[in-house]
Amino acid sequence: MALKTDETGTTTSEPVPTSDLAKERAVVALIYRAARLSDEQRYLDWMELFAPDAEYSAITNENLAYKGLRLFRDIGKPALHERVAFLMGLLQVPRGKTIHLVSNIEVSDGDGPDTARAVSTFIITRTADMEHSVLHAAGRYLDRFERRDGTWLFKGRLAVVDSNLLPPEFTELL
Amino acid sequence: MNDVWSDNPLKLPGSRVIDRNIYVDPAIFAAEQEKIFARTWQWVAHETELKDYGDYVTATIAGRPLVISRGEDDRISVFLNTCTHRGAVLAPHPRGNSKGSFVCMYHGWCFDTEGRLTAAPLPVAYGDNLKKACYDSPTVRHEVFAGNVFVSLDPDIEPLADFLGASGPYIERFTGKHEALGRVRWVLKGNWKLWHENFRDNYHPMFTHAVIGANYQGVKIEGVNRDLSQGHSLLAFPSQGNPDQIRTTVRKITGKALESEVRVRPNSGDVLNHHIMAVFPNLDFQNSGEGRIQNVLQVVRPISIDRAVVELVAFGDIGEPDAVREARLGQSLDGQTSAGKISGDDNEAARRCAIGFGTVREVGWSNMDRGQEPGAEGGKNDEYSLRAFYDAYKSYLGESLVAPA
Repeated sequence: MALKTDETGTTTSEPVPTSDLAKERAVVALIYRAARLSDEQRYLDWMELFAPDAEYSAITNENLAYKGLRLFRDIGKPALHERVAFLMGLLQVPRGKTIHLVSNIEVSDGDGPDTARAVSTFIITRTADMEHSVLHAAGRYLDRFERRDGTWLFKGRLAVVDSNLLPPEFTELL
Repeated sequence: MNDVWSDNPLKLPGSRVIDRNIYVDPAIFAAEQEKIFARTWQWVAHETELKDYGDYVTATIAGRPLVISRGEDDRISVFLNTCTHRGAVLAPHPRGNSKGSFVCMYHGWCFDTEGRLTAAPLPVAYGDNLKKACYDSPTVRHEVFAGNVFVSLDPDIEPLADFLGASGPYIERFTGKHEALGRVRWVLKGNWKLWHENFRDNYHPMFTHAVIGANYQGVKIEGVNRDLSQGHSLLAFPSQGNPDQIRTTVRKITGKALESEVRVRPNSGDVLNHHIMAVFPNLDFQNSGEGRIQNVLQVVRPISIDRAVVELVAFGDIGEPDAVREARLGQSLDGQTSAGKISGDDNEAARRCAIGFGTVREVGWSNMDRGQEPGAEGGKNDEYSLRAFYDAYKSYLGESLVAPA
């Protein structure tokens, strides 16, 4: 099956590796930083990795292949800020300790020197209070980036979740 | 022998207190499977999910795996998802397209879109025996209402429209001119009834969901909690958005002011535009009203006494503008599913109740007594709809609920 690299789920193309190694290094570092800040539950810092008009969303593989029904789609910084407020206290679901393992990162050029795309795979483990660590989610990230004032930021992140049966506590950052 | 429904220490009549054994007793779970799930109409699909020849979805009702399939002449058929040769399921996926035949992976027996055996490989060895007996996979009774395919394992069940009763016009309104946009499923760590009860309980949201509590501060929201009879019920109330409180709450929690206005849907005033309808025994609809994007149904199916799977289907209007469709696809589940800002907490409440039921020998009863006026309807936070469910539940289970003394 062709890899769908566009967040609308309609474009299929193989990612072409960028020849800009500085760009690649910066983008990979940004992906890892998002993973670490998620795991450290530094949600406000995580939010600052996104551009003001960025979007963050998630979808199951099943729905990506169907009509594109997202689990959620936060568009713009205020929407991300609301999500952060939920993670920091509006939700009563206790936060679990997570580990985001991100690998198989392929960075390609976007529309110009200040944009980029990446596909990568993730595995997230979650450790709830008084429970064993469990495999929480696996899937792939379809990311878009842009450089603003010399800083690389997420312009869009779509987490595509492999499982079509979600766990009961699924409110952690993906 | 004590009747667990009437012989209780609180001495409340009817379904105003509930014996917690119904959440923990495997014998009651087994009785529910045969006396409720095998004898009621069960939602399994929306016709728009089966648009093309060969499209199918699968479901498991009372332990029986089923195939719901679109076949020739646009006919929808429902048959048992098992090879009549040795038993393997014919359709292993939640949805797919059979291209017209279901071929068993084990020995290659082949069935058509209506479950009829069309071929068995190397048939000579059977002599004439294959022709002497019917090896079609048994069909299951189904009916369609407002695009929704319901099945029943009881061939003698009343017609679907009669079963749906007063819930029917609402189902027509919510799904009759709509198309399914997708499904999401998740595991519930608790008894299935905990999930279904939640759609008949509007007492909990302001406490369980802090964001709703913030929305409700400073406003009084009137609404209704109505027993629709036959075990069905309806909650109706105005949508409420309180951007000032949300802004304050977000700043208080994060220590950071929002950069722009909160995305809060407009207040609908006195219009009871938000509907939550529960259809006995395990189907729920949530519709946020005309011009709003949330229109979903959920079905909860038990897999054991303390585990269930919830399946959600989101709907859009057929032919709606692209911008509306995009908003639905993107944001109509924002509060829903186990990833949702609202339902996430409902899952947690069910999990905590399930743990709390470990005290069933010491604390044997749950209270559903809110609303003292006679009749079938009370205020938004009353529990007429919960009692409607348990009145019907009791009538289906009957003597199964007589517990040992």
